[in-house]
Amino acid sequence: MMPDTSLVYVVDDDPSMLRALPRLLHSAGLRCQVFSSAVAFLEHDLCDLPSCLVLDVLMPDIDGLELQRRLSQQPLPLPIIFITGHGDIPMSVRAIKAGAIDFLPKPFDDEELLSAVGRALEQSALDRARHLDESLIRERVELLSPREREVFAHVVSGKLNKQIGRRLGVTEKTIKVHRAQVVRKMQAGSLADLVRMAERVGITAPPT
Amino acid sequence: MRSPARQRNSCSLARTSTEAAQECERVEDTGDDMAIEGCPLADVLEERFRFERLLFDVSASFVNLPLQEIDGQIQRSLQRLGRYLGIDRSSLAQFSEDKRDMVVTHCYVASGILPFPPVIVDGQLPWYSEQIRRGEVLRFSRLPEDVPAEAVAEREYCIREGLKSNLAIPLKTGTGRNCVLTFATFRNHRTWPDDLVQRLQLIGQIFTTSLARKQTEERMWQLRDQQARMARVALIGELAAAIAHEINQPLCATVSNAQAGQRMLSAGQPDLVELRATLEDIAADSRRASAVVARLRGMLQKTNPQPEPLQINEAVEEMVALISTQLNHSGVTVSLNLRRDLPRVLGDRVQVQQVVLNLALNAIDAMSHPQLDLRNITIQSDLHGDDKVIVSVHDSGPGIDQEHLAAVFDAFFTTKPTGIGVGLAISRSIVELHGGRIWAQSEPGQGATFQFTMPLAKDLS
Repeated sequence: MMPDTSLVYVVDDDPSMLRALPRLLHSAGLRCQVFSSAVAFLEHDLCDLPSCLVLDVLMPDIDGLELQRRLSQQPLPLPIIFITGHGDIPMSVRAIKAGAIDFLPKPFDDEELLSAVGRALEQSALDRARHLDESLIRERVELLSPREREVFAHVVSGKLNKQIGRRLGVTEKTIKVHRAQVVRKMQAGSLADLVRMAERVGITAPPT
Repeated sequence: MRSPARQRNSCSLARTSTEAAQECERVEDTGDDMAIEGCPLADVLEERFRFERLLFDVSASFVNLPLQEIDGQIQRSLQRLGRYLGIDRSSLAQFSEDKRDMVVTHCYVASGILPFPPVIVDGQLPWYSEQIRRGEVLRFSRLPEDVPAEAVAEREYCIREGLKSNLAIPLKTGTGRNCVLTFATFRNHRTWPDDLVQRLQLIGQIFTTSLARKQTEERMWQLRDQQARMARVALIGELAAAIAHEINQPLCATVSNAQAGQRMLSAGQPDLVELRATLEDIAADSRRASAVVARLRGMLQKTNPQPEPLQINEAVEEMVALISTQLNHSGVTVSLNLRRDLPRVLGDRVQVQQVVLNLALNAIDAMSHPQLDLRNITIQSDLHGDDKVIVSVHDSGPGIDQEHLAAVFDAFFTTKPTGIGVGLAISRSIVELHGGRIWAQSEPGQGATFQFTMPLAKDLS
């Protein structure tokens, strides 16, 4: 009955919360999975769906902020909504700076939580698309020869063929050929397209 | 100099209870015969020797005397002196807190003699009281003739009571509440020679020193009691955060459950089984929160700190006086470097003293290492900026490791084998409650310095 298009993880050490939160999420048509500790969550394989984490801050063993730190090392970020009974400001600032979607003091309103979850899932979907995009671009960059990659970097930094040729010690005509190869292999429709792809995977021109 | 009666009454007047005045204990005369017939010189020497021995016995009886026996011992000493000297009535009185009334704390009365009035209230004997306050020794060999003309009330008093001679020796005490030791006769006139007065003065000083020790130690027990209560309150403060969490957790679940229930109903066709489970959870969580409240109620006890303008130096000095025994035992000296013209701070006296006490006791503990050469605490006070007073307590101990410096004020942090680690945490909460700050500094080998600030009372004074 629940759409398999997204998943909300809930990690809280309080059994009452682990019963109440799924009800609230279900009532909004969201699928969820609960864990009573950060350790249990870390042992679990994450699904391949847009997903987010509703996370209690204060927990024995690994607390919420520590779990956030560990998850941040993953290639694909998992958006986090913190919930806490001790909502002190420095802690919330730290959590938000580390990329948390929201920091909700307990008790929170259903709308607050559901809207944060909604934003988190959108963020996750976007992240996933971007991640997909990135891996695609990387695959294409792999196809470029070392020389073509150099030319690519110079082109996206806005240099003319003539300048690039002078820089690399070859003729303008040779650069033109390399450039055409770059556009073809990267499947770019325009210079703007090339620039966007270069930015996404962090390709920049060497310093002059 | 034979005693006029074989049986005497001796009565103890507790300072706070005049009822004790009626409780007189009967004492058997030991039958010391003082007069010896024969050679006058031998008489005099024998007499002198006996009196010196009596004085020595009285003095010695106060050495290492337990607190609860001090009153009784003063009582017995007055009786022995009275009997020996053939005095009808003797007493020790102390000025009240406001230094106006003289309250009789101990007295001896020979049988057939009127008991002493328990209090000489201010104005009752104005000339007499004034002389005593000024520290004048008063001796009257013939009464009422010797009473000066201006002492009208005193003359009347002597006639009414039938007083024949009187000696009053003012005694200074460390507490500021001075005492007076009096001896009176009602049957015969009596002279009060210098050497007798000097000896009685010494005995009086022994009495008042012992009384001061008793009062100081009683005050210290009171303070310790308050301190224990404060420690409990501070513990509750520490626990409050944990308890708040305990209550908030079920409340949060309840809110979420209730709102989930509302959503189920709004969506139409609610799952009744799920709805029932939701309501059961709400009830269970509410009971859980309520149980925490019940537990908390048992722990709380009323305490109202009373902030008032106070001289921080006085509070410090009083506290140092209180722990002087402990300082002596630990071989610790204290140097006070207090700035004299400090304005008053706003604070609860007991709480501020507790901070000073905690810091001082900490310093003593820090210097308990047997191989330490110098054991000194320096307490300083000064202005801090233009709106605060700063007090610093420096010890010559080994100092605090840098890694511990930040944590020393945390509750339950301790490096002492017997400590529970609440002293500094309490001190911090007290100081912060008063709007001040407390911190610690330490250089390895240079001892540790604890400092705290207190806001001035200028807004209220």
